Amino acid sequence: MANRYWVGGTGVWNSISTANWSTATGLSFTASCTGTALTTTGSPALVVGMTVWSNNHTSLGTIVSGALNTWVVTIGGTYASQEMSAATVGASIPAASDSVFFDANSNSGTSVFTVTIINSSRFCNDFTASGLDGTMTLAGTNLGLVVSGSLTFQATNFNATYTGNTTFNATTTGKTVTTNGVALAGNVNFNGVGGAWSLGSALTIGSIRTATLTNGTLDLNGKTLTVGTRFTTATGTKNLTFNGGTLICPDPNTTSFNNAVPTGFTTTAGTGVGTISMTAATAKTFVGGGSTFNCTLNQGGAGALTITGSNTFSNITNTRKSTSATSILFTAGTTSTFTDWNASGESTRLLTIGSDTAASHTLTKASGTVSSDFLSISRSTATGGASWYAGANSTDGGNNSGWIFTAPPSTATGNFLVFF
Amino acid sequence: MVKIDFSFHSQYGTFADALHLPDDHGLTQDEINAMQQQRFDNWVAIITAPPTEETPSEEA
Repeated sequence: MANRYWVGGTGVWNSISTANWSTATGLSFTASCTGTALTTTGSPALVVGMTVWSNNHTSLGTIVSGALNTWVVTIGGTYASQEMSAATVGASIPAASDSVFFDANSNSGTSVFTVTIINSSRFCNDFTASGLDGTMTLAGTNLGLVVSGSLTFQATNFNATYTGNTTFNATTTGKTVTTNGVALAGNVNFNGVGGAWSLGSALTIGSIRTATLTNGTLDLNGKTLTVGTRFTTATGTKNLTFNGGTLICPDPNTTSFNNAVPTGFTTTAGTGVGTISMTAATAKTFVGGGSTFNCTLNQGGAGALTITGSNTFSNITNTRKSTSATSILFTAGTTSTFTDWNASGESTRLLTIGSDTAASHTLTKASGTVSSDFLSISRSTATGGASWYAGANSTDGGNNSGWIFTAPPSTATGNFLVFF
Repeated sequence: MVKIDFSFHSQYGTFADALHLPDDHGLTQDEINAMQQQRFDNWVAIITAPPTEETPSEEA
């Protein structure tokens, strides 16, 4: 396990080139060059063997001799006084156990630079981009990163344009994913047996990409995870922890949320109220897989939300009611269990509760009172011990059971006197 | 490193994020507010973008 520092500005990150990797952060300094004579200002800690770059990342070669402010390099050239950088390069390519750093000394001065992933996706332990004083772009076409530790992007001076997958494969806990406002353009996979990652900031995945949870625990940690095409589960032991976080599934398709492999999938509420919000403006499907979702499922878009599977939810809501009418449809023949039910519509913006086909579904809640309103309900069996009040402004579309189409009795109590 | 948690509530749900800035970031509160608003605006733009076809992500 070692550290690898990127130096020399623009370059390629592949499995061969050691030209931009050092075991220590680079040096930044001011110097001029005439021929092979390098003259520095100040006393940078240069040593023989270091590679020197101009401020446009042209290599001046390596230092072969010199001291104090006068040095001799192998290539040289004519360079006016400018910010240069230097480092001892040739460190081995980062392995999966090595942490990589991109910092203020990865370039010369504040020049922009691009690190391009080529040949194959790149491995590392921790990936840290921090302290950058010139804009760095991490690029790569259909190639990405496999991160065994934590990932930290910088809030400014950092772009990630690589379109390959980002895979987190830690097998220990305590890892963090902090993208700091940088959207990932490729798919994101969490797949480490026994691994656990918590979000340090919101995580947004490109619009045509997916997030897959295969093995390990993904803790939203109160932040918002926004997936592109879908969130899906795969074969493995996996947990989605909310701690007040929100999973946003914005895409309109039949697997926007796809619990494709419910075996081994659990959810944990943690502290606060977690939410899965389905926000597509057109029809979308929540494939529950019969799992227990210790969170609120929210209808957050105009398009009908179809829920498949006999699932258990902590709560269900409809934030779309502030904007338009919408629908929540359950698969006929399924039983959906709720701890709380807070899905309702508003005047002129009814929430339709129905089945996806011409047969009934069942909603169950063990106790308490459901107090809803502005619903249009059909083919819905409400049961389980709770009193299901649809509200005075709701409509009975037929083939319902258990729903009470009135407001719940007032629970207001007042003081009264008893005279004997 | 300074961590500034923030959130915006919208019809789509809550957008909760955090700014991680160096200790000596030197940003004014207005600049920080602008960065937060920019992140929220970027997020809304992404989740309200028209549907697109999914493309495979090939790995070498």
